[in-house]
Amino acid sequence: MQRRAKVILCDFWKFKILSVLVFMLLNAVAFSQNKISGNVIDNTGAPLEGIYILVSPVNGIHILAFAISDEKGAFSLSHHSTLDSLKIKTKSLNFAEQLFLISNKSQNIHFVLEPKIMELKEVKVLATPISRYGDTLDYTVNAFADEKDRVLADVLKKMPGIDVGSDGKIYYQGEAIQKYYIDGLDLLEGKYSIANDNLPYEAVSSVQVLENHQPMRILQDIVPTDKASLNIKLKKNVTTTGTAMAGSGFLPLLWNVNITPMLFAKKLQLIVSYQTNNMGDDVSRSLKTLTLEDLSDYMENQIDAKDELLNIKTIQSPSFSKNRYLFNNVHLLNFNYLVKLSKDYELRVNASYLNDYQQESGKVETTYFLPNDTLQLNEYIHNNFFFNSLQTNFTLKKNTKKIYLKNSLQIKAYWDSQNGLIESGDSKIVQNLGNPYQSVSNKLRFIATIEKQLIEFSSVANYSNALQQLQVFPGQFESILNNNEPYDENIQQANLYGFFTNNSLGISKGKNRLKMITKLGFQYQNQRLNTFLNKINNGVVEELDLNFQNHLNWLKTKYYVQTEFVHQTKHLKTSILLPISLLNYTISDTELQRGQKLNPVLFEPRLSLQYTINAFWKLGGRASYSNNFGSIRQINYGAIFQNLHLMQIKDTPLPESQSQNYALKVDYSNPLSSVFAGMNYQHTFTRNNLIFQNQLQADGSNYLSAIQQKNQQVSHVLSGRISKYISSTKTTIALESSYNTTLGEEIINSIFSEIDSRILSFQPKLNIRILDWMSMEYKMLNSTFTRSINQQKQPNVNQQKHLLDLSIYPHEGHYLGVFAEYYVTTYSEKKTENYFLDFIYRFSFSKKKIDIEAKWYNVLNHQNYSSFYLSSFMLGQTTYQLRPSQFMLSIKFVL
Amino acid sequence: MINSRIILIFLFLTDSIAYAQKNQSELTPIDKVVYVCTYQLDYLRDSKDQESRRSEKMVLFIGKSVSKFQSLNAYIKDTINWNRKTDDMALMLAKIKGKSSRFAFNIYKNYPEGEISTTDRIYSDNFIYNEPLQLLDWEMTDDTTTYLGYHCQKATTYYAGRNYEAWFTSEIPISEGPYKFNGLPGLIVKIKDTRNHYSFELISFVKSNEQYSLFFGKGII
Repeated sequence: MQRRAKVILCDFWKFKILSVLVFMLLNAVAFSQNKISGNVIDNTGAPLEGIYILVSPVNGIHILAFAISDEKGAFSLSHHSTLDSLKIKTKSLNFAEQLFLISNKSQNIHFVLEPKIMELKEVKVLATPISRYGDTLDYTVNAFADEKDRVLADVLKKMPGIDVGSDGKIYYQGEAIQKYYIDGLDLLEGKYSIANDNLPYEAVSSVQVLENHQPMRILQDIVPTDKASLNIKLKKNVTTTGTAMAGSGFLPLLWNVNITPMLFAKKLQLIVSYQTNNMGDDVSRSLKTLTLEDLSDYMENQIDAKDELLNIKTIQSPSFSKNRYLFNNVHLLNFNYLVKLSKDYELRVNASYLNDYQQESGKVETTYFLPNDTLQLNEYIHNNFFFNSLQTNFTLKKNTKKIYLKNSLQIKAYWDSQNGLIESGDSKIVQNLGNPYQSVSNKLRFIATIEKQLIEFSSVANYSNALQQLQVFPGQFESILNNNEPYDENIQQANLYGFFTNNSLGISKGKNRLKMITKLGFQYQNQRLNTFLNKINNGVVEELDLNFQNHLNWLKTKYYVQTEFVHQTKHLKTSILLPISLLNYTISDTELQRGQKLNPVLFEPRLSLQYTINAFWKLGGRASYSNNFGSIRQINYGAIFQNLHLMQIKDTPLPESQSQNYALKVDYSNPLSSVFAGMNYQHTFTRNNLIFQNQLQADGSNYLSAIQQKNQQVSHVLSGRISKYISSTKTTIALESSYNTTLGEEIINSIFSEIDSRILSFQPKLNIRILDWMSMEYKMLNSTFTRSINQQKQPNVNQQKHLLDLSIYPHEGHYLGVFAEYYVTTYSEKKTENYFLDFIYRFSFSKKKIDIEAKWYNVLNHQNYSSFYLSSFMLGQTTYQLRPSQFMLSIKFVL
Repeated sequence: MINSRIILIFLFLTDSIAYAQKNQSELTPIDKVVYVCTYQLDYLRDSKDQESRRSEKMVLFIGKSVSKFQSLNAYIKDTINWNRKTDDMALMLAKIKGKSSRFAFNIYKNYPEGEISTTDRIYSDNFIYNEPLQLLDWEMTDDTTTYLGYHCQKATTYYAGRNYEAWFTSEIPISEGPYKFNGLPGLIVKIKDTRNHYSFELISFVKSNEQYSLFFGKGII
C-alpha cells in the first residue's frame, strides 16, 4: 500500500513541477509588461482593504488587468497593453468609484475614496411555470394568472395541456379528468364546477395533474390506469374563502346573486352556495357530475339517471352560449361538507335544491320531404319549464393502503313540469307535461387484503319511479284515433318503476410483475312499464284499447365472471380483461300477450396497453369487443303518444349491437418548454340487428317503428391537438383538429340507404398579452359537415364561430373588457350570420378584494337567432328569441 | 483504510492537506447572508457518455466575510432536518420528496480566514479539508457580452487538471463564484471547463438583507 502511494506521489509531483516550469516559460516569452502600483485610502486617511483596481482602455469597457488592495491599502498590478492611454478606476461595494486617465507607463497611483453604498441590480429567478416530479405535473397558478382573472376556472383554461369545456368539464391531454381533489380530499365527487367557478385563484398555490392516478390507495401499483386527476393545492392550511356577488340590472328588472363561502381545513371542508338570477346564467350546470370513474361505474351511474318518457315540442336551441338565449328565474342552494373522522374514515354530505323556471320562444318553419309530396308547416312556439328537484348524497369512505371502503346513499326527487303553446295559422295547441321522478340508490364498495390477496366486494341497489303524464289540447292523431274527426284532448300516462341490483366479489393475486384479478357477480333488474292513452271529447273520457296500452314486465338477470391480467414494467403497462356473461331477458306484456325471451352468452374481451417511451412521449392502445342490448325503453308493444308529433311503437326483438373498438394514442408533454401535444385515432365497427324508420303521415306526424334488418356502421375518428405556453409573454397557443367519418345504414323514405357522413373540424385558440395593458383571447371553431346518401352528395353544411375577448387595463385597478362573437352557418347557398357584442367595465379596490362591475350585454340588441336543421326527411328553419340588450351593475367580493 | 482514503483525495486535488473525520451533525452560525446566488449546474455523469448529462441547482450564500456553496436541494434538506423537531415526520418526508442531490459537499470560502474549507462525504464518512483561499491565476480576455442584464467579460484559468472559461461582471464587485472559483474583480456569472464536462450558470442574484445566518455544518446527513 505504502509503496504504491509513493510511486503515485512521485509521478504527481513530477507533473506539477513540469507544468510550473512550462507556465513560467510561457510567461517569460510573453509581452512586455508595465507595472502600476499605489495605495487606496478613505477621506480620513485610513487604508482601505479589498478595493478592486481595474485597468481598461480609454474607449473600452473590458478589463485588461486588475488588483485588490491589501490590509495596508496597497496594490500592485501589471498589464501588457500597448495603447497610449489607459483608464484606471476603483470599484467597491461601499465606496464611490474614482477614475483616472493615465499614460501607459509604470507608475504609482494614489486613490482617496468617498463612502457610498453601491446598489446592486438583482435578478430574481422566474419560478418555472410547469414542473414535473415523476407522474405529477405542477402548474404554478401565479405564472398563468392575469389581472382580469378571479377564479380558478379563469386560470385553468390558460394552462397548456388543460382545457375547460363550456359545461365546466376539465380535460387533460384531450381526456376528461377522473378526480378533482382539493388538498387531497374529494369533497365534490365530480360536481367540481362549483369549486372551479367560485374559488378565488389567489387561494391556490398550484394545480397538480396526477397522471396515471389510481384513486383507491389499496390498488396503487396493482391496477394500472391511464387516467389523470387534478389536485388543487391551496396556499394555506386553513383557508376561508369564496365569492359573494350581488347585481341588478334592467330591461326588464334583472338580478344576479351568488354567495359561496368555502372553508378548507386539514380535517374539514365545506362549500355552501346560494345562487339566484334571472339573467340567463344556467347555474344548474354546477350540479352536473363531470367525472367518470371507470366503465363499470358508468353503467351503474346511469341506473339513477332521470327517465323522461314523454315530452313537449321544443325548439332546437342555438349552438352558442346559453346566456344569450336562456330566459330563466332560478334559485339553487348547494351544500357540501366533508369531515375526517377517526381511524381514517371520511364522512361526506352533499345536498342541492334547485328551483328553476325557464322559458323559450321562437318560430319554426319546417319542410317535410314525403315520398310523393312536400309539406310545409309554420309554427310559433312558446314553452315554460319548471325544474324543481332535491338531490342528496351521504358517503362514508375509508381509503387507506390496507382497506378501501365506500358507501354512498343517494336520494333524488324531482317535481318537474312543463307546458307548451304552439300557434300555427288559426290553430292553437296546448301541451301540459308532468314529469316527476324519484330514486333511491345505495352503492357499496369494499376492498381489503386478506393473506396477501386482494378481495373486492361491490354492491349497488336502486329503486326508481317515474309517473308522467302528457295532456294535449286539442286531440292529435285524428286519423288514427278518431276517424279523422277533431276532438278535444289527449292524455297519455306513462309509469316506469323498478328495482336494480348488481353484486360482485373479486379476488386478485399477484406475483412479481403479473397480477390476476378474478371477479364473479350477478345482476338483477325488474321493471314495469304501464302506459295508457285517454281521449276526451265533450267531457267524455274514453280509454283507448290495448293497442295503445302497455303493461310491460321486464326481468333481466346476468351472471358474470371475468378475469383480468395486468402486467407492469417500468415502461409498459398491459391489461387484458376477459369477461363472460350469461344473460336472461324475460320480457312480457301481460295484457297484450306479447313477449320475448333471450338467453345470450357473451364474451367481451378488452385489451389496453400503455407504453412510456421517455419522460416526454407516451403511447397507448386499446381494443375491445362489446355486445350490448337495449333497455326497457326500447320495447313497447303498445303505442305510446310520446309528443304531439310522435306516436311510437317498438314491437321488435330487443335491439342488439355488437361493436369492435380500436384506439391508438400518442401523447407528448414537455413541461420544460411548456409544450403539450397528442394525437388520437379511433375506429369502431358496429353491427345492429334492428333498423329504425320514421313514417311520415299526411298531417306531419311521425310513426316510428323498427324492422329487423341487420345493418352496420363503421366510423373512424382522427384527432390531434397541440398547445404551447410562452412564459415571457404569458402567451398560450393551442390548436385542435379532428376528422370523423361514419358510414352507416338507415331507412329513408322506405328505402334502405347507405349514409356517409363526415365532419372536419379545426379549432385554434390564442391567449396573448399584446401590450403591458392589453391582452387578448381568440378562439375559432370551424366545422364542415358533409353527407352522401347512396353516394349522392348532399349539400355541405359549414359552421364557423369566432370568439374574441379583449382585456384592457387603462390604469391600476381598472379593467375594460370587450367581448365579441360571430357565428356563421352556410348551407348550400344559404348563409345565416349572428354576431354579439358585450362590454364589461370593472373597478377593483381594496387590493382586488372588492370589484364593482358594470356589464352591458348584447350591445347591438340582436333579438333573434336563425338556424337550420337538416335530416334525411326534413328541413327546418328555426328563429329563436334571444335576450335583448341588457345592462347590469354588480358588486363582487372575495370572502 | 484511512490511508487509502487520503491517497484518493490527493489524486483529485493539488496543494492540499486532507484528513478524514467522523463528526456529529451540528450547525453553527458563522456569518450573516447578504446575497444569495443561484446557479444551474449542468454536468456529465459519465465523461464518455453524452447521454448522461444532468443538471442541478446550486446555491452560493455570500456573507459579510464568508461564503458558502452547496446544492440547493441539500440546503433544503438541511433546513428541514434542522427544523425536525417542529415538523412531523410525514410532512418532512413530503417536503424532502424529489429533493435528491448528487453533491453532498459544502464549500466555505474565507473560513477560516484566508482558507477554503470543504466538507464532503464518502459513503457514510464525513470529512473536511482545507486549502488556501487564492487558488487561481486568471488571464483576462477581450471578449465582453451581456448576460442577465449585466455587462460581463471573459477570463480563463487552469484548475485541477482542467482549463476553465469564466464570464464575470464588475457590476457586482464581489470576488466570488460557484464552487471554489473566486479572485476575479466581479461575480462569476458563467463558468465552464473547455471539455464541457461541467458548467455553472447564474440564474438569480438577490439581496438577503442579513436576516438569515450562514451556517457551518459538520457532518450533515
